Amino acid sequence: MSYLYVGIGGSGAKLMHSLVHLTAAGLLPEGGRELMGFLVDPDQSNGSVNESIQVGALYDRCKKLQFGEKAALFKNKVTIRGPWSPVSDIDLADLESIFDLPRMKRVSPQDADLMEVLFSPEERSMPVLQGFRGRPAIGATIFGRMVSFDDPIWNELRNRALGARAHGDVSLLLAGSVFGGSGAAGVPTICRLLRESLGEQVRDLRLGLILLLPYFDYTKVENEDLQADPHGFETATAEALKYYDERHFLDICKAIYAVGEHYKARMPVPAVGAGGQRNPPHFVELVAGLGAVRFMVGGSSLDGESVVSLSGREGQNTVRWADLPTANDRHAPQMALLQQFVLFAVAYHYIVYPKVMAELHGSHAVIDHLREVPRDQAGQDLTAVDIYLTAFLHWLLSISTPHREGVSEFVPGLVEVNVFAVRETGGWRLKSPQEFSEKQMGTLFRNLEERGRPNVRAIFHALTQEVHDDQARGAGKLVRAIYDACKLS
Amino acid sequence: MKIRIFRDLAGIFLIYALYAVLTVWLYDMDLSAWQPADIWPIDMLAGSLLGMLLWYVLGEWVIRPHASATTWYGTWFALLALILGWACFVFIMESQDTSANPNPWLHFLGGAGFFYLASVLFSPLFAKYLIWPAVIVRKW
Repeated sequence: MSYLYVGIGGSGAKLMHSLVHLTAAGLLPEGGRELMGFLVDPDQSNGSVNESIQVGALYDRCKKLQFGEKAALFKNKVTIRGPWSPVSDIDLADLESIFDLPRMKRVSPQDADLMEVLFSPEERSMPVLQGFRGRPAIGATIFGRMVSFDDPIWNELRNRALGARAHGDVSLLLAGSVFGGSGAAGVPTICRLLRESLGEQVRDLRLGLILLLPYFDYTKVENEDLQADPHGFETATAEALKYYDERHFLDICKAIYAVGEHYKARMPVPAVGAGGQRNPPHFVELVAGLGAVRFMVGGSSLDGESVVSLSGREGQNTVRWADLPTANDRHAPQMALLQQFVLFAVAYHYIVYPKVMAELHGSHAVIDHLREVPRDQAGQDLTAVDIYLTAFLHWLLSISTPHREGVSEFVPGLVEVNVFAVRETGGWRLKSPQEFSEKQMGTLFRNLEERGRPNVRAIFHALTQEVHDDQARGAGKLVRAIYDACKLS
Repeated sequence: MKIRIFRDLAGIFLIYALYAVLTVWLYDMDLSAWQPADIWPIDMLAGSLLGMLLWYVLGEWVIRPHASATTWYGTWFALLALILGWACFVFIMESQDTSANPNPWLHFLGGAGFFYLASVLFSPLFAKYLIWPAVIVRKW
């Protein structure tokens, strides 16, 4: 049985990225359920999509370790499919080709005339292999024609949903931006198609939408006539939300989360698509990810009534732990899991992992958990965890330091980034283990006065303790011990 | 953690109790009749025990758990050197005491030897395998 997620466009892929990290931290409610992600993007080399898939692969490698039944760490399986593109054939790479306009003029001239009225010649011949360039109308038209449940990826999604019927509710979440091309086109179109396909067969279908409102902008890409215009994002957003209202999406969906940011982050490298379109992670994606978790927890409505929930933050130039939204009674435990994972990532990458690897083929108290474990395999497993946690730290650094122009600088409110990162010209980078100072460890968390401060000595002592979980084995047992040692009091 | 520390300290005192028994036997001490010359072997035992307790305190609460092997070995050998230096001092002072019957072998071998034995069996957690053959014998 799975949590089903469909991420559309670059923003949908970035939310998948965020969800992978939240899953690693143990925030999904049920350990036995798989997070199944389906990515949809006409641009199959989109940088954000590729990054999401890479993180999913790193997660999958870590999941192979045996951390124990009771571990929150990597407790869910994560599978990412895709990206699925409505345009995979380079010969059918624009609207005219896909609809075979010349043939349509002969066979169905009224439809051809309608197409010519609705779309300019430039739009009809615009290549869509790198996305819809902020033209959702083109995307919606293409998605409507090309999404088919005969396609393996959609067939798998449908089968997963049908297979989940026996276990109760079937939760299906779609996400994408409303101000771009792919997300704005794909979310409402695919939502309706899924509802029509599954609605009669799945009685307890819970559809949810996460709509990412504008939260970044960029300078225009040179030498590109057709591209999304950041100055038009607000207008596009207003039109999109009006569309969702007029088409009664709240009657179809159990929950709709709309998440945006007033002070836009400036993306460093403007690009219309491909690998160049790789916008850095943003805290809006963390907030949206928590919304996804909330949807998966269930209980979006109160006694069958619809509920409007608002989430905001106290300061315009920061986001603190108290600002992060969760389901009503789950804020404390979910934030505790997230904080433990953050501390685990920093302690593991900078302090414990280097020591463990230095002692791996010798004898030391820190590797007592590896007494009966082949050391070479243990080393590979521990390195896989380090690689994943490095990716997590990159993500954490990025969401803590969005680049804003024209307003006061953003102040990290969750973590003190100087503990694990260095500011350089053009941005931040992670410190190397040699640059890391463990004396700063006590200051890792910001705005957490009610919790204990991390203590390196205490972590080392705690990680040598017995792991009371028979299912924790091999290198997974050591990793579990380190993770358990990072629980804040 | 507290149980482990209590166990280690109990073990250290047990080993030094054996040292005390050996001292009493070699010096043929009459515990009911104190002789001024008895102070020298007791001083040596106390110095060795103090060195061992200092090793434990430093290892448990001062030296970083992930400090390099150089730091750990350096600290242990420095304490061993202090114990041997103390043995020299005790031997010299005992030799000048006309009422004493110096036993230099006990001071040097006993003081350093029991420090070594206690280190093998009851070194602090992050140095538990440091002193050979602790990696073979120490399963706790």
